[in-house]
Amino acid sequence: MSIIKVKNLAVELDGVEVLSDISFDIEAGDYVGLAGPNGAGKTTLIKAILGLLPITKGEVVILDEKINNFKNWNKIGYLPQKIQAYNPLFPATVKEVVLTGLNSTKKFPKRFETKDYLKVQNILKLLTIENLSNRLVNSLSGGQQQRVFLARALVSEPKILILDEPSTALDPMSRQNFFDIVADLNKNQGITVLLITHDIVHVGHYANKLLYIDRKEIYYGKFSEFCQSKDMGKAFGGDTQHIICHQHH
Amino acid sequence: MELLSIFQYTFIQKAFIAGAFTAMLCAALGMFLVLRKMSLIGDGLSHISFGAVAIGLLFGIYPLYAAIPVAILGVYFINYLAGKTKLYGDAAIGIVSSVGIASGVIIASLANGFNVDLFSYLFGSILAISTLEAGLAVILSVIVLAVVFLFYNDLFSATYEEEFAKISGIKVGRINAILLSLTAISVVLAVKVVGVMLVSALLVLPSVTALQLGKSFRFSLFLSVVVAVLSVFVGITISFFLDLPSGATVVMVLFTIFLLSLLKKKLIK
Repeated sequence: MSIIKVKNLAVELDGVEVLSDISFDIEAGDYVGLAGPNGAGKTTLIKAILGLLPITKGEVVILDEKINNFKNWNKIGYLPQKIQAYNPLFPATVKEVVLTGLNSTKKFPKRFETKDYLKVQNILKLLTIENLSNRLVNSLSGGQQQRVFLARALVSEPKILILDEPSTALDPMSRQNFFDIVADLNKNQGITVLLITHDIVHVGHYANKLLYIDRKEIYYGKFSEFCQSKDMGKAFGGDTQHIICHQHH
Repeated sequence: MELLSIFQYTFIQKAFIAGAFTAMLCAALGMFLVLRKMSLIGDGLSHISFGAVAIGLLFGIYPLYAAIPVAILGVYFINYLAGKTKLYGDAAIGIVSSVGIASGVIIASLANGFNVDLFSYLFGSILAISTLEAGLAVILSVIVLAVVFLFYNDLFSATYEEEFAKISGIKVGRINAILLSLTAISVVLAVKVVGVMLVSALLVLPSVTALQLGKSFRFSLFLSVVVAVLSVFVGITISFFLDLPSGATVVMVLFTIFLLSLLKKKLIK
C-alpha cells in the first residue's frame, strides 16, 4: 500500500526551479534513503512533501490525503535538519519539548493530561533518555539532543518518520546508535522511514530503497536493483556504485 | 508601619492594581517576544501609540481608545514591511517607530495646549491613573492573559520551532497574529504605567531576568510575571516616598533585579 505518493513534483524558490520531475511511491514499511549531492534539493523536497514549501507543479498525497488538505499530522514524525533549540537562551526542558510532539493529537484548547505525560515518559524510556526528562535541552550533548528530537517525532506514534540529515552533529558512536534505533523502529514497529543523508554508503546498510536526486530524480527503486543496474554504474561510475552498494545486504 | 500607610491612598491602590495587571501581561508576552528575538517591537509600538495618543488628544477622543486600534494596525504594518518587502525586522520597527514619534510631535506642535497631557504619556503617570483607566487595564489584562492561557501550548510550540509547529497542525500564522495583537494592546496599557520611552523595559527586563534563572519554560514564565509585578510594587512605593518619577523608578527596580539575576547565575556557575 502506498503511503506517500509524489507525482511530477516541481518546486520554485524565488522564481528559480530548484526541483522538477520528481515522482515516487513509498510503500508502508519501506526504509527509503534520500541522497544526492550538496544543493541537490533534498531538504527542499522534504519541505515540499510536508507542505512547508509551496509546490509549483505536481501533487503530493500522504495517507490518501492531498498535502494541502492534510489533517493527520500525528501520523507523521519529523526530525528537521536545523533545530531552533540551539538558541542558547531558550529554557525548555526535555519534557516540555517532547510534549510539543503531541500537539497534533489535541484540539483547542490544547491541554496535556496524565496519559500524555506517560507517553512522553515511555518514549524517553524507549530511547534510554528518561533520566534527562527535567534537564534543559540546551544543556545536553549533540547526541542526547538528537534523541530528544527523535522522541518528539515519535511520541504521537506516527506511521511515517521523516529525518533530515539526523547524524550531522553526532560522533561516530552516537551516529551508529541513532541509526540502529531508527532501523529497529522500521523493522519491529513497522514505521515507514524516509531519511535524508549525504552518507549514501552508510544508509545502504539499513534502507531497502534509494531515492537519488540532483534537482530532478536520478534514481528511485530498490537498493538491490540500483546495485545491479548497469545504467547506474555508468551514471555514477562503476567504483562509486560499488562503494555505495558495499554496505547493502 | 509608615510603609503600609501608602495603601490608604486611593490613587496608590489604583496604581498598584493597574500596574500589577499590566506588568503581568507584559511579562507573559515579553517571554515569547524575547525568545523570538522580537524584543524591540514594544519600542516601535509604544512610539506609534504616542502618535495615536496625540491624535486622540487633538480630536478629543479618549487617548487609549485611539491608541489600541492604531497600535494593532502598526504591528501588522511592521509585520508586512518585514515579511512582504523583505526589510529586516529591526529596520521595519525603526521606520514605524520614528513615524509614530514624528507624527505625535507634529500634532502636538500644531495644537498647543495638550503638551502636558502628552508628556504624561511619554514618561508614564501611573500615580495619576483614573478609575476608568485602571478598570480598562484590569479588564484588558484579564482578556489577554486568558487568551495566552488558552493558546499556551501553540504559542510555546510556535516560539520554540515554527516549522515543527506547522507540521503539528498548528496554524502558525494565526498564532503569530494573536501574539502581535495581544502585544499591541499590552503596549498601549503599559504606556500609561511606564511611558512611551520605557515600555520596552516592562516587556524585556522581566523575561531576560527569568531566563537567567529558569529551569523550564513554564517556570521562567512564572518567574518573569513575579519579577514584573514585584518591580511595579517596589517601584511605585519607592517613587512615592522619595518623590521620584514612578515609571522610571519601576524600570530601575527591574534593572536592579536583572543585575542580581546575572550575579546569581555567575555564582551558581
